[in-house]
Amino acid sequence: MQSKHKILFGSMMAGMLLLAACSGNGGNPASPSAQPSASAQNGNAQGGKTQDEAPVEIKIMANYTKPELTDSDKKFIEEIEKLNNVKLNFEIPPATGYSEQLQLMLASGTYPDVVMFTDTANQSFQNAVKDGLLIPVNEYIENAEYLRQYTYQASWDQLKMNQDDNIYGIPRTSVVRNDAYFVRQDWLDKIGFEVPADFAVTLDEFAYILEQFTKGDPDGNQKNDTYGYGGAYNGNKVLDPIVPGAFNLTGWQAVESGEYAYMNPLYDRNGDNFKKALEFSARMYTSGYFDPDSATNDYSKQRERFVKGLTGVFPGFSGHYDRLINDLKQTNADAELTYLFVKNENGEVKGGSLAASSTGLWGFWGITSTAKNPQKIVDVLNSWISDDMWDKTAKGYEGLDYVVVGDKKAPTDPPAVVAEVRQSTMRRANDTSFFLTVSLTDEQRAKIVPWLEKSIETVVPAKDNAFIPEAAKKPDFMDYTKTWQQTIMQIIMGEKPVSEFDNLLEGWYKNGGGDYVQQMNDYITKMESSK
Amino acid sequence: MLDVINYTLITLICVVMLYPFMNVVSVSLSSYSSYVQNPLMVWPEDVTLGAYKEIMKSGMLWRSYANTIIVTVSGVGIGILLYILTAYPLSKKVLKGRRTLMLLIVFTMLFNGGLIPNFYLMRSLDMLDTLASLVLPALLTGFNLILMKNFFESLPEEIEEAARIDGASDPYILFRIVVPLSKPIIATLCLFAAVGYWNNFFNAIVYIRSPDNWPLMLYLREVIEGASTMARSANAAEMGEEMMTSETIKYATLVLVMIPILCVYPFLQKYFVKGIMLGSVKG
Amino acid sequence: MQHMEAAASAGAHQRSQPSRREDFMKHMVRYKWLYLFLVPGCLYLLIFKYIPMFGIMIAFKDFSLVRGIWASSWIGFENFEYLIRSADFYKVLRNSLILSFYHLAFGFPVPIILALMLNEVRNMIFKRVSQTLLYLPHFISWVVLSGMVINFLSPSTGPINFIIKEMGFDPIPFLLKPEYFRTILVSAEIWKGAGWGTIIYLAAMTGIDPSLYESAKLDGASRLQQIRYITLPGIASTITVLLVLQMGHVLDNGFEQVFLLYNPATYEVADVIETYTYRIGLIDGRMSFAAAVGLFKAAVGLVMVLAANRVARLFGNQLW
Repeated sequence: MQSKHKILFGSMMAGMLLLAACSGNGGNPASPSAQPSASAQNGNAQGGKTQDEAPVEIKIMANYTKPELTDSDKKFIEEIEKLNNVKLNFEIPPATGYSEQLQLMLASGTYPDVVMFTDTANQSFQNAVKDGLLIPVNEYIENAEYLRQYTYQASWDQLKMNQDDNIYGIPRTSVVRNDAYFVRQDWLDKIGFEVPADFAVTLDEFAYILEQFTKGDPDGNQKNDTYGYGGAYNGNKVLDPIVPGAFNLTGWQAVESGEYAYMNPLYDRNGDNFKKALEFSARMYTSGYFDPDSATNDYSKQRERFVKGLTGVFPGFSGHYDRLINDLKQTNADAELTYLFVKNENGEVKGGSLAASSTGLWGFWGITSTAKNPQKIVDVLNSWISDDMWDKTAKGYEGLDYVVVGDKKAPTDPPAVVAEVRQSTMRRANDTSFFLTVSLTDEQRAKIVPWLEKSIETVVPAKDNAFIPEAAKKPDFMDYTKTWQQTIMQIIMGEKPVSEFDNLLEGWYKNGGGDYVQQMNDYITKMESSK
Repeated sequence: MLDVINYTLITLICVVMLYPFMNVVSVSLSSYSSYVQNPLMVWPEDVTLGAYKEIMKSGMLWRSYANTIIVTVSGVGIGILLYILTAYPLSKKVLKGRRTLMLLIVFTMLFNGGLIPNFYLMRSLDMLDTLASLVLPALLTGFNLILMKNFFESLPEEIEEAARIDGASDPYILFRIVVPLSKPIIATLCLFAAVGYWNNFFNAIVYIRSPDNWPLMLYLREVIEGASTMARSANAAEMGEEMMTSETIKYATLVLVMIPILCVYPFLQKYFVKGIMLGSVKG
Repeated sequence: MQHMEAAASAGAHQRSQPSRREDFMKHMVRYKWLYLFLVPGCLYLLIFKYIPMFGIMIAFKDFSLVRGIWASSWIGFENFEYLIRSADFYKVLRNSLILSFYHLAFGFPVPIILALMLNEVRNMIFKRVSQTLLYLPHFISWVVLSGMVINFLSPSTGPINFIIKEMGFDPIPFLLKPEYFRTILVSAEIWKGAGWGTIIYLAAMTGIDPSLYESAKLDGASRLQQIRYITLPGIASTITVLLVLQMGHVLDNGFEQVFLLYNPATYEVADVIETYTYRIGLIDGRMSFAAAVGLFKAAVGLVMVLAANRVARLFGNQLW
């Protein structure tokens, strides 16, 4: 009765008071908390800039997993600010809401100076370009020596959204690689397979390994509880065929004969490379050499099951070696890892891919039309990977990110907090040293380097630059994508014969695939001729 | 006999319902490698408080905790009052336009302008990036409103008639007679509203800019899905494996977020009292 | 006498016009509090629910975020035409309806039955504890819960297939077989939501007059009879309300749980409107398309709610 009401009203009043108090706190849009402490207010920048010039304020909207800067980040940003006479304000929305916040940013009418976009297919990005919100960066990168030096040409090409020369963003580059497979060395020893010196095996050998890992009790526990290939689904929840490189599935390339000048083996009516790949995967899957959960595994489950010792082959990036082996050893003390590539029928290792080609573009920075000083922005991004800063970008600072033991860098104890802003804002192309972290022992380092180098050497660049033709947005085509995905999975899982693929491909051409191929050819021809 | 069957069945069902919670708590208290060995565990193995120690270091956890508590308490407090005030007239048949109003309310439950207009609204009210923007959009839901109206309708009219004859005014009747009789529904709505606020993250994604104003559920979602959302659009390799949070950390955060709200219902259970009508009306 | 009657009827005739207005004023004076009480709620609904509804226009425009809602160009029913022409949409619509129906048929009664069972428990401690335990899964997010489901049903390491293998059969990859999907999804949804759903019914049950039970017992009614003739009618209005409102969500299947548990092998039955819209959005990304689909769902839901309310009116339990 009365007491209940007192509680009701009391909480209401308290609530309103608190609301009023806290609204004042966060209601100031001009003060995001992610600001470095000591700022470049002295204006005492290097390089002979006058003290009178106020630092240029740059507002950056970026996508990271944590919204706040670490100490290492702050220190690094201070240096960058001094170097360029700028003041950087980072606004980092939650990663799970980044695409919504991009939309809201566009709708809000007040834009930051620089915005991170995840890829060129992103609708917010395409809208921004179409509506003139993002400016071409061509004139500003003329003197950006490091950007020019350490960015893949394909990345710049991918950003030429209107198929003219205008580049609509500064690429955040990552090393283009042909990733191969981690394989349990101890299991290979048990089944008596010797790893070749160049880490490359033939397709038959690979199939043999998968078979023996499943049937040969490679962990020696007298139980039939292991599988060869640790599979997982891709970003579209589709189980893809494996070892694309061994079947020369190298994406859009120039072809000598056929109806079109450029063709992707996936859509090639005159070739059967893709069918062979499907047949191989189907054979492996139906023989039971795949992890039976493959079609329902995402990346983290795939990794978990490999670490657990359920599977013996795990597709992955060789730079992750140390973390993988550490986790592995906790469940299996005898575990060892090696890294294997699979050769095609000519004995070559070629990088294959089923998705759009990798141009090295790992997100990019778009400069908005409201940015007051685009040149400064480009300078900042340029200096991020300059020779002066690169070592700090990649490795960080002594005391914060590593300690010096003798003459080498070693990890801190407890392990340093990851400085995402520092090391994930800009990177260099072809720079494998970045992935050789301080936590690697010399022995581990010696092991990984050949793998990293081989991953980079065996890349076969494709020509499509992740271009999406208009035909792909037509209703029939989009509906057919679903049929395509379903059929591919059914073929691999053995529910439909491989010959079914011929019908699938015919259907694809009928449902807009023909236009797709034609438009892709037009695009590639145009891009090639402007080189 | 029937009782035995009843009790047994309920116990079995409770065990099934309890399992996910046991699993989450157990994993949060185990080491990563024991989780990998046995993801479906019901009891912690290789017990360690490491995950909890790790996440309690985060200042953001506590700040978002505070934010959510403030939002929930004020939202429920103001909301309950609003529900009572609005549901009561709707439960009276004499109200003109009753049907239209009900239709309008049901309409709001189904139709929604979407992200952008709500954003524009908050912006013009100058409430962006405030805790108020987390409270207001969820203050009244059609569902809860209809539940309360329904309950009020089930109260016998004689009670109010008797009071009116005695000369009581409408506010008196509402607050001194109807509300005390409505403890079960008020308790239920408190629970529903509290859980609604506690679990909401989407409003924060739309309206909040500063990390200081993040509510707890947004923080949790970032911990559990943040890295994998980014990995979906980028390549896991680029991000560096250190960024992928381990399951034990994810689950420990989940447990910390769940515990307070789980305690609300037991606290409210005493309001679910039978036979409160007894003695209110005689004859 | 006649004279007075004539005068009275003449007077009455004169008064009928202004009397309506007078009645209205009397009504307002007498019930002024009711209308005053409504003001804050209505104001709130107007500002926070109805004003943003102009966003529905997005469904009819070629929406550009930068240009805003007003300045974007009008495309009329283009989005809806796309839906109608898409052969896939009908499949997806069918899946949504069937899944909703399953959810309704199996998921709706479970909380009611559970509540009835709990209501019969005499031991207060047992009752309170079990009530709390039952709703625990509601608080565990779908991401975590679906991970558990996937682990449970794993053909290699899951307990269910372990039993199947022990019995000598081949393991079944449940999540890859369309025939199991609906069962798995609805079961998972019941697992997550049933306990939570009992709360409202238990609250309603407390409003039933205990003396009804007393007199029934005196008349020799069995427990089951008491449930049938007292408890169920007592919560009938609550059941009706929830059922009618549930109709409004006939095309909402819950994006998260479907997305997490489906894959191309089960698209045939698992692809619902929300996942379909999501995939289209990834490729085409026309924001207005998602708005159009949302509008479509809401419109269908409204029709269903109105129809359900009509039916409820026949039983005297209407919402309005």
